[in-house]
Amino acid sequence: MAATQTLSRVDLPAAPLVDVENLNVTFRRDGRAIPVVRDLSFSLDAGKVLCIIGESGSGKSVTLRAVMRLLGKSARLDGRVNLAGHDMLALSERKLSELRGALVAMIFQEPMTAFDPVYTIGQQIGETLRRHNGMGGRAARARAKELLDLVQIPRAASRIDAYPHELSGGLRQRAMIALALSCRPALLLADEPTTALDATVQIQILLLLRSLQRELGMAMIFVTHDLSVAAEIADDVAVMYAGRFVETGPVTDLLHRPRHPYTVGMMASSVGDKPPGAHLDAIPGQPPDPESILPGCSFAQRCAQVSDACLAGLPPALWITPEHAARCIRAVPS
Amino acid sequence: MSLAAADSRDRGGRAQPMLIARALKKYFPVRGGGFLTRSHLHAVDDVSFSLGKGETIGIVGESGCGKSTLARVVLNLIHRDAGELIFDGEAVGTSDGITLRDLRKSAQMVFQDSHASLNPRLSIEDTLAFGPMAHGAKRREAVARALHLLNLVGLDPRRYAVCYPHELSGGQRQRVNIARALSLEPRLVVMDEPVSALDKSVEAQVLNLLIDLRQRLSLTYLFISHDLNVVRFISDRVMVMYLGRVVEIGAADTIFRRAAHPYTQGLLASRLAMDPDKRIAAPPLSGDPPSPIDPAPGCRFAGRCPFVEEVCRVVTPELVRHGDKTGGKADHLAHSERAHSDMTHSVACHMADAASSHSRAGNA
Repeated sequence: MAATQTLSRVDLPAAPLVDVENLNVTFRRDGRAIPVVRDLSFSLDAGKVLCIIGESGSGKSVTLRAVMRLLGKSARLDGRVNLAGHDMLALSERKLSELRGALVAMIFQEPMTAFDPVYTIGQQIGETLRRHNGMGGRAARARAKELLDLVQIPRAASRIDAYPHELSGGLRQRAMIALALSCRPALLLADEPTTALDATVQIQILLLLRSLQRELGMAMIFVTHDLSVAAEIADDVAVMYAGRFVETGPVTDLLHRPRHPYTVGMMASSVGDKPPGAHLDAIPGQPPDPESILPGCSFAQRCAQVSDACLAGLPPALWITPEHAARCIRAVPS
Repeated sequence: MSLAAADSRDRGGRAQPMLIARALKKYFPVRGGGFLTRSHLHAVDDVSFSLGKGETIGIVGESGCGKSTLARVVLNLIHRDAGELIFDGEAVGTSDGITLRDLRKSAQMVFQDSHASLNPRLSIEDTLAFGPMAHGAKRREAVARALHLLNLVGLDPRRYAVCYPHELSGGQRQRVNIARALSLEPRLVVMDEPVSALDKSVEAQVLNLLIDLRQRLSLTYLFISHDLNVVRFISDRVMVMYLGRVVEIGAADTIFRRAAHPYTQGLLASRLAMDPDKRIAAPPLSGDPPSPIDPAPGCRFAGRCPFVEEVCRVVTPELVRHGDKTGGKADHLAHSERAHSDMTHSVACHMADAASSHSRAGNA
């Protein structure tokens, strides 16, 4: 469980750190309403890692941004997002910007978009420390150097004065993690932070995040399209399809005994260590357009076991174990 | 091995390699360096291989290793600085060799970005008919061929022929790109990360398609990917590149079971298992791939290698046949020009070369 004493900035209640209820995110485009996240509910305890797995367009990144209220004006958010007792959807912009960084921070796939190219790494981390922690210039610089050490940037004392473009991809990702951790957030949101990295660097960053998360007792919501990344880092996994969680559970349970046909299909279609040239059991078709989702199970059109009951109404979440659920009428043998 | 039937378009018979590359070199000048000197990015540095007919070579390596530049050099999309290219017995890029027009007909490419590589103002039908028409086909023939190609890649021509690229999903666009590459009935298709931008469920569909097409059309593939699982799945042979140089080459099975170069070993150990019970405890390699601009002498991997010794920083290791205790330079080129395909396992590492002064020489 979380080492809450390390989290000096925010008092944590005993309740779950993250509590999301009936979250709906709808984008307005050309006068039409496009539902992207639909009726999502989940909670996450302090110090735990939740991986949201989904393909492009599934709504996984939008969910992450909704938690931190980072979506633009074209997005309408309904439901409740509760972070450590704060109602994130009701907060004023001012209060929100106080909590961003201190309570919740985010890292992205492309660190160049998170950094300002005309300031050094040290200046940008220092600015955050001065703004949120009220540190003086010298103290902020010393702390920034500590943070660069924490994320294992070699020769941090000289790299602190580097501009973002002067760092390699892996170092830039580490610097972005240092920036996100600068105010010791209780929750780190990670949007595919390793997807653009080379294989030998990806594993370094995953292991760094895993160890930092444990040492700092920080909770993390990690969005990825890659099941094997989830296997490496998650406590719990949520598989997202067409705006909904279709299967949730502890990582071992879910990856060893997947019950939703979509999860099963994703695992079967992974090349993994299948014999060379063998036929892959690909899932036919493609995810539905969010504007034209039919009632019933959204995976029905691609599912080999579809029946009339699947199209009649949204399948309820059926519990396979007290922690593992799937939204499929066949999830539990009748 | 995918052994395709003899093809009437073969010039030198089945045994003559589809493609021979000898000591290819491509440096890009970059800003920097001194007042009168220029720095050079060593994208492709002394790369040799031969690709048999019907064979698939997978090229793996991290960003900046030169794999995409190599693909473009092989197709003469960019000119090489040095080296020799021979396409089915005919030299490429020389006045007495194969014409560019014939090379374009025989060798085509599929790119990673399915969107950027299609013209947004051409319908799918026009996109696919463009190549054949440029090569002299009548419009009616070319359109008929376009519809046939759509069928071939699993897209219903009645529905998709009139569509524009933005109306298709990423997977469908990549199918169109594959169809376009096949429109001139090429022998060789070079693919640069063709499935990397696709979702996993769609990636499987496209890989199935590529394997099916290879069989049906007797294609030869040069397949570039950073995803080792995908490369193992589709390749007969694997070539591992690091900072512009080939560090290891051999049969896919050999590379994946008995990799000899420390970089290949680190790359393989960095693969994630899809099993929370098999998590990786410590990163197999530290650091990032270094800059390919004016690389230091010696082995390019020396800076990240756990076994680095003095010799590695001084002498650039040559590609030698693995297990060859005499330490002679690999004759894998001479060998492969005889055989249909050359499965020799070669490694560029002082530890694999008994004649080097590395303390582990000959033990790797």
